[in-house]
Amino acid sequence: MKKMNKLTIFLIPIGIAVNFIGGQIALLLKLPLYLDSIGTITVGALCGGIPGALVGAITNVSISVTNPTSLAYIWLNIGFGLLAGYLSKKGVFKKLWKTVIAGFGFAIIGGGVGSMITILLFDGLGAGTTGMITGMLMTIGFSVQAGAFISELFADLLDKIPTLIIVFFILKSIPVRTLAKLPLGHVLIDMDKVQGASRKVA
Amino acid sequence: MNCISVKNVSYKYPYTEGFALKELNYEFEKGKCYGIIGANGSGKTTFCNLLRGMIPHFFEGELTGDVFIEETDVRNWDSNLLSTKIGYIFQNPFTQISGIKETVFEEIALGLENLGMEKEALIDRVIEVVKLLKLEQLIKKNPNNLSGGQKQRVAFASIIAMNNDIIVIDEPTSQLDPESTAEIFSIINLLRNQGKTIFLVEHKVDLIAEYSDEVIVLKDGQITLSGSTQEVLSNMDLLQMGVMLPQASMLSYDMQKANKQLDSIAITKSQVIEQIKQRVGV
Amino acid sequence: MDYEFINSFKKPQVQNNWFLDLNPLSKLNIILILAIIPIVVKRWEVSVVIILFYFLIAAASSRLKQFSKVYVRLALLIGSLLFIMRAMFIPGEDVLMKIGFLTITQEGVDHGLQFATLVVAICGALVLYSVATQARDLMLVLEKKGVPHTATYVILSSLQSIIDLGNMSKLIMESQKARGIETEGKVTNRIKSFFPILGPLFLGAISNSEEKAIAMDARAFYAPGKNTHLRELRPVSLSEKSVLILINLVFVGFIVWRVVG
Repeated sequence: MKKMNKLTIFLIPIGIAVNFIGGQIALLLKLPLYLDSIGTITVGALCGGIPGALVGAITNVSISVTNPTSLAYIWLNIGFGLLAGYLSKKGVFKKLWKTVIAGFGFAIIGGGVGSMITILLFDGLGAGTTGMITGMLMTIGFSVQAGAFISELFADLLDKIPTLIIVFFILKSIPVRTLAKLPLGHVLIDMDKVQGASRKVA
Repeated sequence: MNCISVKNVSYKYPYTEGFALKELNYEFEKGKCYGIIGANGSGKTTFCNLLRGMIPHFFEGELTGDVFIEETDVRNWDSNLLSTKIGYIFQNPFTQISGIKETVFEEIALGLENLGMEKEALIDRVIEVVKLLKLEQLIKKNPNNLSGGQKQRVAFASIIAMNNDIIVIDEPTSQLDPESTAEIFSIINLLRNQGKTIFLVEHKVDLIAEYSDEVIVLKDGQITLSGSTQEVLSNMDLLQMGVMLPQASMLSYDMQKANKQLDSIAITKSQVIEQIKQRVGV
Repeated sequence: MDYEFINSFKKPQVQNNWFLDLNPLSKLNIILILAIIPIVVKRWEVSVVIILFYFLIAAASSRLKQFSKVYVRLALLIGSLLFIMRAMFIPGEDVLMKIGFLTITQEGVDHGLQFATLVVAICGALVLYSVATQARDLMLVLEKKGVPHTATYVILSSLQSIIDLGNMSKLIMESQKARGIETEGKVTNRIKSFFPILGPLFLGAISNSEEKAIAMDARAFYAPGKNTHLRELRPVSLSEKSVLILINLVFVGFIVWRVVG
């Protein structure tokens, strides 16, 4: 394995903590959103897919201590990290509109893969609000698979678009000197801003 | 013997246009304490990163000229070995605590564990440092829950334990209260007496006057003044470089203006007291 | 100076409890077996027995309070949700009662009971392991097994970062409230207040991580060669090893018997 970038090692714990805290703040503010993958996606965008996936994996393992079912959904958070790294390489996070569209990609992982896990492990009826909605959909005639897919995709779309917007603004606020030290920083550095800033210095 | 020499060094951070350091030349001798002063943004921290080898090993960008650390070009140093040669302490006490140890004793031991020191020797070394820095009361405490001043003392202990010959100290007290500042400077004094080579960046020129052998003044990334502490800190030109003079020097100049001049421009309080005592004849 | 404390590092770290002092990997082994049994058997009675067994182990390792604190709430929450949903939505022949558009069937109840107890039993294994094992002990063992210390650093440091950032987020939230930023009221307002809380927190942590990298470098974090450890754990005793092997053999035998038989 290629030696990991020195700064990446220290950003992974931060990403994990931000996933945690983001989710907690969302709960405290009683938001109908998860907002618990901001760290995964940001680290993926800054450092690449593997570090992003690590953030996701460790987050779910840590959460599993107090909420063990999260271990079943570890693949989602790993997927978010990998996708963030891939999209970042393609320069998607440089433009807000592209970032928002990317939200659909994350929602498909979250909702699609998520509902598959729910169906495989929990017969489609997970322990949560989406499980409730799935149940409701079943009583009006949907199959359990369709019900789980619809409810989880919807919940994830609602979550991932704001999440991605937040990630976009976080990335935009990171100073160039920090970005310069990160594996994918060179993609994210906004050359107009750099030249503007140095003109100001000169 | 020179421990670090800097020859024609200029450095530019990545994605910036101006040079952060320009045409630096200096020979640093072993066992001396070098005070580094200058206004904000004059390049002091960048200079520390250069001396510590973080430039070019951690900070990319454009480095021209040569830096020799113990006669070896910094570019040829294994960056992972440099940490065993040069200690580094900086202003923020919070980021210098590892965050993975549950007691101060273990925190201080971390660097030695990384160096692969055998346990018996390691414990003895940590005890030695704890005594030296008078940290006995803290060893069982969780380092993450200490005050800023305590954390900074633990950070010093952690670096001192590694017994580096060279220590770079970048504004160690800028976030501390006066009492903790005094404690930190008594530690710096201990290091001086142990014959360590020290690079000390500090805003408080009065403390630089007390503790350093030579002073380097930076302005816009250039060395604008350097030499013995007495020489530099009694130079009125400092004011143009955005640096205050020590209170003692100001007083000496004021007395000069009032036609009551001292035998020489004093830079420390004790010098002033000495000279006044002589004059009054106590 | 507290030499008793210092000398404690010269000996293996023990808590004088047979279960807690087992090697972290032995504990993991035992607890994994406990979690797998209900998956294989698929009977609610077995799951309940396993769940009760967790409490027994927790009590024996004087961790009953910590274990119950997390587990009871969790078990009730997840268990009841999983049960109720299955009872309500799973169709079947044997109708027990009808409430509005919901039909509760015997099949639904049976399946709900089996599934809810199974998930709760598996969850219990994780909770029990987390209260009976210190993260730093597990990391120490993993390092001895050859896991690089950068990896264990990442894990331990994220636990501390969660605490640090958590404390900071509370501070920021309070000051945001004091400055009149709405943290209650309409959903849109609450969403708007999310970024001013998380943004500065995250950005500050990112810029600190740069300093942390430099600070840890100064602590020889990347020094070549093997690192040593101030703390050490009790070496795995012969009896611990043999009992563990025995348990594993019985377990494998049990699985084979279930599959073949």
